[in-house]
Amino acid sequence: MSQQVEGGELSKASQAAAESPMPAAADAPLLDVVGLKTYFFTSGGVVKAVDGVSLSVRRGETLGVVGESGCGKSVTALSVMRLVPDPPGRIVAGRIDFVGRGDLAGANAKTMREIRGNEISMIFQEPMTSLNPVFRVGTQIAEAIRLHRQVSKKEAMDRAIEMLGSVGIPSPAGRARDYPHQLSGGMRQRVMIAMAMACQPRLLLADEPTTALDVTVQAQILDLMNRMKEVSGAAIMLITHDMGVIAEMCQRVSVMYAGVVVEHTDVRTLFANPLHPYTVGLLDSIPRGRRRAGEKGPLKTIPGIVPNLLRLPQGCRFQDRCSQVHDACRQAEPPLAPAAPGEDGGDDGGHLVRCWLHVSPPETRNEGPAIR
Amino acid sequence: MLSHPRFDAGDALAILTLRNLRKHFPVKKGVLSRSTEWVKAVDGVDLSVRQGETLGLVGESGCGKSTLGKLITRLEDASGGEIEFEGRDTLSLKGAALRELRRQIQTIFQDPYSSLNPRMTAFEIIEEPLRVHGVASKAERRTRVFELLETVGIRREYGSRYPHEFSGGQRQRIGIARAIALNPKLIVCDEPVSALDVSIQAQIINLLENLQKEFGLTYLFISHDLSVVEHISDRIAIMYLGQIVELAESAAFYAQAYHPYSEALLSASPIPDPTAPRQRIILKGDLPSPIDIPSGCRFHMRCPYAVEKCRVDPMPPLEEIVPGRWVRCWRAAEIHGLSSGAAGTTAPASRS
Repeated sequence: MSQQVEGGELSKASQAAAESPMPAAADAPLLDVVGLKTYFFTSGGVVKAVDGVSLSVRRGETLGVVGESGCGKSVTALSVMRLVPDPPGRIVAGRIDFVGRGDLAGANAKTMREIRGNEISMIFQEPMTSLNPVFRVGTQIAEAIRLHRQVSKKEAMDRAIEMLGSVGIPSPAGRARDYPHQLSGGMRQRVMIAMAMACQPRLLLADEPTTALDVTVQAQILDLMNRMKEVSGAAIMLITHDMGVIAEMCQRVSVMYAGVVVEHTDVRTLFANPLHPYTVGLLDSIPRGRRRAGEKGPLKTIPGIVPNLLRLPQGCRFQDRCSQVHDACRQAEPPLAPAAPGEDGGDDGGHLVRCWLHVSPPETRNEGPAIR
Repeated sequence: MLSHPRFDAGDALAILTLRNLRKHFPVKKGVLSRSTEWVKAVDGVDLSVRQGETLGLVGESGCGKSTLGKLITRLEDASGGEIEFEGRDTLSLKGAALRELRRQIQTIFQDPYSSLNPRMTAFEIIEEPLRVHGVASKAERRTRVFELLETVGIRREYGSRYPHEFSGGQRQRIGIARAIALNPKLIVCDEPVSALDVSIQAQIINLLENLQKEFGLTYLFISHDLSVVEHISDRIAIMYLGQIVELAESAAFYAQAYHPYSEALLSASPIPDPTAPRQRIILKGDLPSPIDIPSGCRFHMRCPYAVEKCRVDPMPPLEEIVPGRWVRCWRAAEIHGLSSGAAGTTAPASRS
């Protein structure tokens, strides 16, 4: 499955994205999150922001994590980085296996300091709030390098300037002396990427990296991320709400809803043959090209709003918004399981869905995440 | 401005016409606050909005699209130019006449979290315009507010709730109810769905379309999202550094953009289809500062087609190069094979 996804099939799907170097042993995931639960203990009750998430990122690939606000996609990434504010947040269950480092969910603070910014880096939506306003950007990148590498200040600064050049910042030596407020939004995001890639991480977590940017600048940054991925061989977990960005950047996609993954497959299958009613609704509510395709009338919508994470319904989390809801949905929550044979449109066994319409009934199968 | 005959786009249908409209903000420096520089947020806009249509106004942040919306609603005073609404000049309106204009032109704002007063209930928020304009008695207002709540799809008993008790989509519905309360003719929708999730966005777009049909509304729909604008607009205007660079029928525009900036914008917008061919035009550099506007064509430094003429000649005019399609580019006709081309040069000069 992995060979098929990473080889021929995707070079057609996303030309720029698929040209990354593929190590021969690409089947073992770099990051394997299994049954992750991150809860927030608030005065109003326990918010189950991440409630049993399983997903994996393979070497050199871009995994898309897509979902609407509050679905838990950012908290998943923060959990991997162990940056969930505690209190009120806490990882209460699950594993975060990172190749060579074991389970990050139980790793101590020292180990995490070694990993953060070094083996796993993260870039955020709003670069202005994640850069320190009172230090020059070159100094900030050099600091990140000196934290993980035994180099002199001079060497670190040289490396910082080299990184600024590699992310397409003109006259990098001069820009390294700028403060964040002197740069445009696109330039600041380039600085963030330079900082994230400075120690050649194996995994980059990108949380809505282009959401705050204009569309022409977004195109520049997505292009840059793909080029950096090719050069470094790093894998990317790209969190976004934008199906257009998913289609352009990712090889495989996990769709999240209300704290769980509801569907997982390769990007072409997701768009061509979505199975979960939520994924179908999400794709149908995109207005792009509907008029051109001759479609008249109103957009399709998903009725209602996401459930309150303090008071999740019994059974399927999507039941109140689903047009195909039936008795089974109200009784028990479906597992994330392989779609019934013949339904998944190729990529056999790799199409996972959390819906009673598409998985075998509860008694014939054993519960639990089945990510591979 | 140069080559500036009175703009009318041949529009007998126009409800709103803007001619050479300008808004320059002073940049204050030093204790004496003498302004030596100006932010030219809107700098010579020609545009017409037709009765009953949705005109999509698209541009990147800082291009002046929101300022343009505020000029139309007279929330900002123009530095020059003309605004004509239903055949009357609006820039000179004062007092009662201005209040009447504001009744007829309403706004729906982007952020339903900051545009609703958190200390007022939904009922009070929607009632306020009716009260301010003194259009009805208390009892009539009550009936009207309940009717409006129903129109936008909010249960009337929720009228006593405060904004924080509603979701983002519901808040935007309240903002819409407030905007239509006075039966306006034109609504300036300033990024009304940008803050909403996709599934909620679709609900609000459908609501806006239904209201347009029901009440014969005209929309100026400001957005940076080409995918939403394609769906909702009859015509589309592309704005760059304070000016309109292209104005066209929506369907024709999405089939082929004529201005090089529009073309790049369209190609940069991600397509939600992994099998679609990708031919992204990646523009170099950032939007120039509206304080320090480049001479010549404002787009020439980022334009893949720029030639000497684009750099040295004054700004190109907004010209109708095919019927219904207005483009501000010296080379558009030539590039798209419509004429021999006046630029005097042939090959696109790459600045990379």
